[in-house]
Amino acid sequence: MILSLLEDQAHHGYDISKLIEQRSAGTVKFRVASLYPMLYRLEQRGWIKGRWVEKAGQRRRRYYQLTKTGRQMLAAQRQGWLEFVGAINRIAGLENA
Amino acid sequence: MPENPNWKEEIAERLTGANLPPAREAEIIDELAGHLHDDYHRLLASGMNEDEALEATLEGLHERPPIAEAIRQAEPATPRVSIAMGTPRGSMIGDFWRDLRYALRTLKRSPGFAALAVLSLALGIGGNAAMFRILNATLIRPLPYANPDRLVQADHSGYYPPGGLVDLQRESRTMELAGYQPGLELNLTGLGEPWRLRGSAVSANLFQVLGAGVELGRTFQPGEEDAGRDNLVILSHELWQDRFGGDPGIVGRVVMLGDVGRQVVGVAPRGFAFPDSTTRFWIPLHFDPRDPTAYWARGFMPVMGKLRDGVSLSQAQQEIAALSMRMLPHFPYPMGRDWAASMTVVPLQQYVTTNIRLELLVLQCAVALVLLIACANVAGLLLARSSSRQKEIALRVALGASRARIVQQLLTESIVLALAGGLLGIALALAADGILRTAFVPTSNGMASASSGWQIPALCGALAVLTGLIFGLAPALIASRQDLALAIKTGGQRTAGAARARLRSALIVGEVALAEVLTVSAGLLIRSLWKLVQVNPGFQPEHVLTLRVSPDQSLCGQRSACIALYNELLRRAREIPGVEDAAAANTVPLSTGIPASAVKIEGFPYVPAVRAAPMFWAGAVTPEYFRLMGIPILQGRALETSDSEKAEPVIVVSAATARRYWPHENLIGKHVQLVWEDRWWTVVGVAGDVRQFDLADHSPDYIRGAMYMPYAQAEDTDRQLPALMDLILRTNGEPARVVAGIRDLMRQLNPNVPLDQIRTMVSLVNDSTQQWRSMTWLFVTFAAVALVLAAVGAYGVVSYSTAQRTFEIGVRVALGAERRSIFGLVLGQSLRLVLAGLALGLASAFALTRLLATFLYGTATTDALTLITVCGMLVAVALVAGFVPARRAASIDPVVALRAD
Repeated sequence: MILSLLEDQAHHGYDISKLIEQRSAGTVKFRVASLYPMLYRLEQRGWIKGRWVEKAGQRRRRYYQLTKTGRQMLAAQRQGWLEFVGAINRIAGLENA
Repeated sequence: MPENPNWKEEIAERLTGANLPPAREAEIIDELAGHLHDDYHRLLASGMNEDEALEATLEGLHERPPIAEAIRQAEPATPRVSIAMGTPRGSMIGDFWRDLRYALRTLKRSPGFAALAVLSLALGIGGNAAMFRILNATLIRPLPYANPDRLVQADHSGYYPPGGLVDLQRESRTMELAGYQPGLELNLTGLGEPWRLRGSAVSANLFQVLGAGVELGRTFQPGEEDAGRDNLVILSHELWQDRFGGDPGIVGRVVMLGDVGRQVVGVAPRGFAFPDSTTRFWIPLHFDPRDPTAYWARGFMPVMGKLRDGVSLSQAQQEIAALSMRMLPHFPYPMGRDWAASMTVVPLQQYVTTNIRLELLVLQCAVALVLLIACANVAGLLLARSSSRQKEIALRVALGASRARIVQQLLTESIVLALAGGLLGIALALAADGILRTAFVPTSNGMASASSGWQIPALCGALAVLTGLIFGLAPALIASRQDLALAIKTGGQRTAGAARARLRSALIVGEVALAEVLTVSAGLLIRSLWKLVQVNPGFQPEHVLTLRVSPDQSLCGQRSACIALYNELLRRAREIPGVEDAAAANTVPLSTGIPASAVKIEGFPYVPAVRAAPMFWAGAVTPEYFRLMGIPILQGRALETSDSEKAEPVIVVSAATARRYWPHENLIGKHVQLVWEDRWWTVVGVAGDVRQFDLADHSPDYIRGAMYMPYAQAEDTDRQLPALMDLILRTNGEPARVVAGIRDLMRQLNPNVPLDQIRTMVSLVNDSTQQWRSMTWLFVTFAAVALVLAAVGAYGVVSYSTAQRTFEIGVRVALGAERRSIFGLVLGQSLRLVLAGLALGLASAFALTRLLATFLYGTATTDALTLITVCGMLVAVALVAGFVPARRAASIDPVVALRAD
């Protein structure tokens, strides 16, 4: 999910949490205490890369962007996710029948 | 623009235990702080007030697993920082600083807890330091003489006449012995205003026995006690400075002391004080074997000595009893064998502290109890805190902190508390020191005079570290020993923590028990004091003023001169405006004087070979005395002006004396004889009993009765008319105005007679309860502190355990338990704790208050009223402590409680 948010452009942590909230229409909320550990884990795995950006008149923020490995992972995970959703739908469809 | 909360601090707090490299930690803190900042301002913009926004923002930091752990898992493994004891020094110090900062930060977050802990510790530490200093100065520190451990004092009935002393000095193989007459008062005249001085008549070898030298001149030499060679004096350093301006040529000068010219042979060194620190001069004893009565029957004095090399105390004890037995035939009147047989020697230090030892030890015990309670209390508070920090600790252990490291960190916190308590304790101890010393330290032997400023701070510091370790160790050990998985899983709540709960309950039970001991003691003392102030002293102290008139004894060499002086003084004193009546007496009740005479009593069979002659309190009073003091005459008549010098000698005895010696007879016309006289005194009346010594009527046990002689006929133990008298005035106005008139009058009558010790009888009565008052006041303070601490402790335990049982209580309510029964459940817990403490305390109080028995008056240590009141108070404490948590528990909403976790 986070990887997909970073596909098009780099975001800082606060942005990421708001984007997730918006796109899920408020269903999924990340607390600070779980969002950042997750970002650090992704960074640790080499899927995303954070760097400090300072803009005039603002506090410095850490922007995260996808790495090359991250893009590959995203593609792979999307594939896996689609397969999983398809499988669930099939099961649900069978059950409904 | 609202002020921004300090996000970094909030985050830093929560990252404790994540064990990150400092640079990385700073980076994370920075990033998270930015996030919280944005969140907070968004919430404010959405219409929340600052508090709501702050709460909602911080909510973001709450998560399971906690953020520190989550980040720790996400981050690359850093090499474990080794923190066990025994690691390189740099890291120890680093750890210490980190612990210290952390401790200060955590304490700052709970100021109520910190204040309570610091205050209770300060009371305990300060009290102990002040008390111990006094104890050290009096009971522990050796007396300020050479070879203090070899010095002994004849004890029990340990007074000898001059002849007895000479016998002992000649015969003793175990000791070098010296005699001294303490509290000798003489007038220093010829230097302007007459000056009343306290000094001591001593045997010539006293300075040598004490191992003391002189600052100028020499000490006395052998034989200088002999009549004719004894007109010598050694001055104290203070007297030399104050009265003689430190004159370097003082030695050899003749000064008028006690109306006798005495040659100054020496000046004692500064600080030399024997027998007590009020001593300003030493003169030789007066030995005159040609006068057997004076040599053997009068001037009984205390005797001290130094053990010879290689002699044990018990050898000396046996010898002195044997020597005393051998001297019995020398007495000119029958001296009881029991007098000699009971003679013994005790170490000098023990002797001079006899009167205060028990009192000081009891007080030391009391302050020690206060400190124990304070420790128990703080230990309890720390335990409670450690259980709410269980998860943090578990996490740190999980992250690799060793147990020693955890204990070290928790101990740092308790020592910080204790040191803060110690610091405040120093202030308290310094304040208490002055009060305690004036109340309890005797003037004897220059004790507690050499005060060193570092003692109290050093004691407080040492006590602080010690108490910090004592009350911090158990909670720290328990906190560091826990089931990691369980603690982390349940997040600190509902973990059984059985050891912790047991220890906390035990602490409260102990605290209540100790508080009970102190409260019972305070109660008993209050009861005693109450009874004491209700006591009828046997006279009416209101509007009575006393002044001591102290001519030298030589004035009464001519009896008529003395009688004339006092007659004239009384007559003209009555003419002074404001004076209603005037009388004179050789001592007034409740002052320190004990004029005692050995007597033979007609019709009272006693066996002289077995028992010494009974001693009577022997008052010498002018006829107006009974009327003025309001002492009733119960039988016969009072003394009258007609009982003059030439008339038949008569006495009035006290009612208790009458009951003791003539219980079923008419005693008027019976006779009493002073042992050194041939004439008989006829009893003419019985006066009401008077508390002569103190309000509690603790008269020395050798005093068997009391009699009053007419002043004109009186004789003291030196067969002379007493020169030193108290002028007693009944006034009808401000006593101070009268004093000036009396001073003028005295100057006119005899300018060489000093007037001093000007006191009202009311103040004497009040002073005589001073010791009880100070003791009671101290115990009441201790008890109050103990009760408050116990209440706070019990409240802490109950409210904490109630909070932990929120879930359980929620279930109970959900299952239909009534609010009332929940309320009872919690209150019952508090009551059970206190009742257990009460039972334990009652047993301890029974055992310990026995120590107090000597300080009680008319009150048994098992006084029912006191015990019941104290139990009632403690139950009240339990109810108060349990009430708030019980109400909180009773209002628990089951829905909230069950959802809470």
